[in-house]
Amino acid sequence: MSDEQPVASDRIIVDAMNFSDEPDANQQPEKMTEVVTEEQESASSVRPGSVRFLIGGMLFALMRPRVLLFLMLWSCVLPLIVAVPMFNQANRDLSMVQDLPGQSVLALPESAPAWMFREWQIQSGDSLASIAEVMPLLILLSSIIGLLFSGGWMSMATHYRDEHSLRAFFKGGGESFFPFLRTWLLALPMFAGATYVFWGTPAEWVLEQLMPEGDANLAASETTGRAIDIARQLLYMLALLKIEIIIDLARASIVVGQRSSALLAVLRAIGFLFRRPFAIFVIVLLGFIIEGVLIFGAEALRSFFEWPLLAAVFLLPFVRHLMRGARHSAVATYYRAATGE
Amino acid sequence: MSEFYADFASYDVELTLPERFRDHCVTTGTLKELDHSNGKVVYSSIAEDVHDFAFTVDAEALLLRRTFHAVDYRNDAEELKISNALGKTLKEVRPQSCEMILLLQPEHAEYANRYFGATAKSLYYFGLWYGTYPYKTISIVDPANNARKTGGMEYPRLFTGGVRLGMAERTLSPQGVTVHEFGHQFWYGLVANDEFRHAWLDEGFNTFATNRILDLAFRAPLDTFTLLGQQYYGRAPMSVPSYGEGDMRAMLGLQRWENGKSKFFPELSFELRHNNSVQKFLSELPLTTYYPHVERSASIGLRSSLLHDWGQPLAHPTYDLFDSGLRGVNAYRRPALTLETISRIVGEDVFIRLMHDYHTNFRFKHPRPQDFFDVVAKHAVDAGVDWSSFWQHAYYQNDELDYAAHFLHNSENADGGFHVEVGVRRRGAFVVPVDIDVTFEDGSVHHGVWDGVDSAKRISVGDFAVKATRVEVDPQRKLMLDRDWFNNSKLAKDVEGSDTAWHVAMRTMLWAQQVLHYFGAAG
Repeated sequence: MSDEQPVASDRIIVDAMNFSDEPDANQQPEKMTEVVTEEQESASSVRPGSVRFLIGGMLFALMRPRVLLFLMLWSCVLPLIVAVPMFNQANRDLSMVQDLPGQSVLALPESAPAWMFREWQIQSGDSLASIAEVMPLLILLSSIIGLLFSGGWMSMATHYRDEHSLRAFFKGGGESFFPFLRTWLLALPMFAGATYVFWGTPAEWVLEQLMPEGDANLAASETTGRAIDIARQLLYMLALLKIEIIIDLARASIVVGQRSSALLAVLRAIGFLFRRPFAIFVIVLLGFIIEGVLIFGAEALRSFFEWPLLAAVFLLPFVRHLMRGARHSAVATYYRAATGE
Repeated sequence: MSEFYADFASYDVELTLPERFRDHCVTTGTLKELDHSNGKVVYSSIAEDVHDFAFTVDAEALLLRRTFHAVDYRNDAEELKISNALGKTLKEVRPQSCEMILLLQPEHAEYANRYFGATAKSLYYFGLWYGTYPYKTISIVDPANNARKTGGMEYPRLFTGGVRLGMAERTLSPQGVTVHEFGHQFWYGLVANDEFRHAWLDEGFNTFATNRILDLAFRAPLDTFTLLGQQYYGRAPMSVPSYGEGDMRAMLGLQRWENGKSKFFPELSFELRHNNSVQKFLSELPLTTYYPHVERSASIGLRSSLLHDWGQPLAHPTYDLFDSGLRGVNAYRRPALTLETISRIVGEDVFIRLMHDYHTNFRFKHPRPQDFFDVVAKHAVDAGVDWSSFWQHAYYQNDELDYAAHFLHNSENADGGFHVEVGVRRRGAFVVPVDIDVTFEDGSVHHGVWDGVDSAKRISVGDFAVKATRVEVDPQRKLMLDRDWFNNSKLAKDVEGSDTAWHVAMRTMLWAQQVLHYFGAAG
C-alpha cells in the first residue's frame, strides 16, 4: 500500500459522507461532472475501504428522511392489500372466539393456541387461501417497483446528492428504470441457472457420488446426509447472493456510467467482481448483518417498552429501507470510486 | 411382516446369527443366549399369548435397557380417579414393572431418554386405564436412517419408533410415535380386532389413548419452523402459495420461469428459487414476524380430520375405502374424535369403567364393533343419549354434527329488567342433546340443555335484572365431532368482540411487509 492511501481514502469518504443537509427545494443541482472529477482524482490507483462506504451509505440514507418516510409508507400501504382482507376475515370469524376450557390461553399477539388456527382453517380455509393468492402478484409488483427505488438510491448517491431528496430519488429511479428492468430480466435466467445447478441434474449427479441414489434417506448415516443438505443450502444461498451482487454492480455501472446496455453492464460487473471479489461482498453481507442486528434490536426495544405490534409495523420497514438505501448507495459510490468513472 | 389378524399362540423360536449381531438383537419373545461359538450366536426366544412374532438385528445399533417402575411415574390424581371409578385399591390399579429394551442408532443417542421416558409413561397410563401390561419386556427399535420406512410400526412386544436429528424438545418427537406404537400393544396386541375390516377399533382407540397421554404426561408441543435441519419455535401467520410446474402463477411469485408451448422454442421450465429453509428464514425473519408461542393440544388436534371430506361412513370396511387419504381420517382421527365426544358426554368416571370393561373382556380376543357398542350402551345408560341413534349418525351414516347459536335478544321490560331470548340451530343431521350457556353483564351464567331434535329453536330464557351478553352452545366443547366451533357463540348486538382480529391483522401485516421487502428486493 502506498503512503497516499489514507489521504486518498479520506477524500472518498468525505465525498461519500458529504451530507450538507438537503438543499432548498428550488436549488439547482450541481453539475454531475464536477462530482465525478473529484472522485476520479482519488480513485485511480488505490482500493477504497468498503466498510467505510457502507457506513457512509447508512449516514447518506439517514440524511434523506423524506425518502425514508416515503418508502416506509410504501411498505405500509402495499401489505394492506393482504392485511385488510385478513382483518375482515378474522373479524368475522375470530372476534367471538374465547378460550376453551382447559386449553392454553388465547393471548395474542405473543402466543396463541394452535386450535384457533386449525378451526379457522376448517371454517374459512378457502377464503384464507384466496387472500394468500394475492401475494405472488404483490411480490412481482414489489420487485419491479423495487427497481425504481434502487435506481433512486444509486442515482442520488452518485449524481444528485445536493438535490431535493425525494425529487432526486424519483428522477434517478425513473432515468434508470428501464435499463434496470432489463437487468431484472437478465437476473431471472441467472437465478434459474443457479437453481438448476444446485437442485437439478448437476446437483443430483454430485449427490449420487456421495450417497446411494443421491438420496439422503438412503445414506447409512443421517449425519452425513444432513451435512450434505445443509452444505447445499448454504452454497445455494451464496450463489444467489453472488448473482444479486452482480446485478447490483451492473446497475451501479449503468447509473455511474449513464449507460443503457444491461448485458454489457452485467459483463462489466462480472469483470469487476473478478478484480475485486470481496469488496462488494463485504458491503452486501455486512449490510445484511447490520440490518439483522438493527431489526432484532428494534424488536427488543419494542418488547422492553411494551409497545404494541403497530410500532413494529413502522419501525421495521424504517430499518430495512435505511439499510437497503445504505447498500445501494454504498455499492454505487464504491463502484464509482473504484473504477474512476 | 404386517399386522395379521391371527389366533393367539405361544412361540418358541431359535435364532442363529452371525457373531456381529450378538447383543444387537430384539425379538417379540424373551431372549436367552444358548450358544456362542464359531463366529455364530444362537438365541432362543419364547413368547406366550401373542398373535405374531417379530425380530430385528442391527450390528451398528446400541442396545440399552431400563426397568419401568410405576412409582417413578406416579400421577396421584389420575390413580385416585381410576381407583374410584373402578372400585379398586390404588395397589390394584397400579401397573407392574417391566423391562424396556431400546435398540438405538448411535447418532440418536441424545434421544434415548425421550424414547425411554415415553415408553415408561405409556406403560404407566395404559396400564392404569386398561389393566397392566402383561409381558416381561417391551422392545423399542429406532430404525437406521436407510431403513426409515420401517419406522412407526407395531408388533407384539416390539415396536419401531423413528426420529430425525435436530428435533426440538417440545415437538414430542419421538415421544408421539413411541406412545402411539406402544399403545398398539393394548389395541391390536391384546385386544386383537380385524385390522382389515375395522381398523378404527385399534388405530382409532389407540389414537384416542395416545392423545390423552400426550396431553396428560408431556408439556404441550409448540409449532416450529426449520432452519438448516434444526427446529425452532414459531409459526407464520400465513404463507406464500407455492405453485408447481405448469402453473403460470409461479412466475408472479418469482418461483418458476416458464414459457408456453411454441412451434419454434422448446418448452422451458426453470425454478427461479428453491424453497429451502435458509431462504424461507431470510425472507420471513421468523423471530419478528411469527407467533412465537403457538401451543398445541393433541386431543383437540384430532379435529384436523375435519379439514378432509368425510367421504364414507366409519362402518365402511377399511380395505375398501375409495380414497387412501380417507384411511387416516376413518381409521385414526375420526373414531378418536368420536371416543373423545363419548367420554365428554358420559363423564370421566363412566368412560373409565366402560373402556376398562371393554378392554379386559376382550383381552386376547377378537372383538367387533357391535361388541363395543354393547359395552357403551351398558355403561352409559344414564347419559341421556339414545345410543342406537348415536351410532347410526356417527358410525353407519355420514351425518354431520353442527350446532350453532343464531341470535341473542334482550327485550326491555316495563320494570327495567330484560326478557332474554336465544335462537339456536342444528345445521347437520346428527342429533344429540347439547348444553347452552347464556352469560350476563354481571358475569352470571344461566345453563340449559336442548334436546337438539328441531332444526331451529327459539328459546325463551326468562326475565333478568341485567342484560345477557353472550349465548354459547356446547360451552364445554363436549361435542368434539361438531364441525364448526366458530358458530357456537353469538354476542348481543351492543357487545364488542375481542381484539383477536386486530392482532392477527398486525402479524399478517408484519409478515407481508417482510416477504415483499426481501423477495421484492431480489432480481
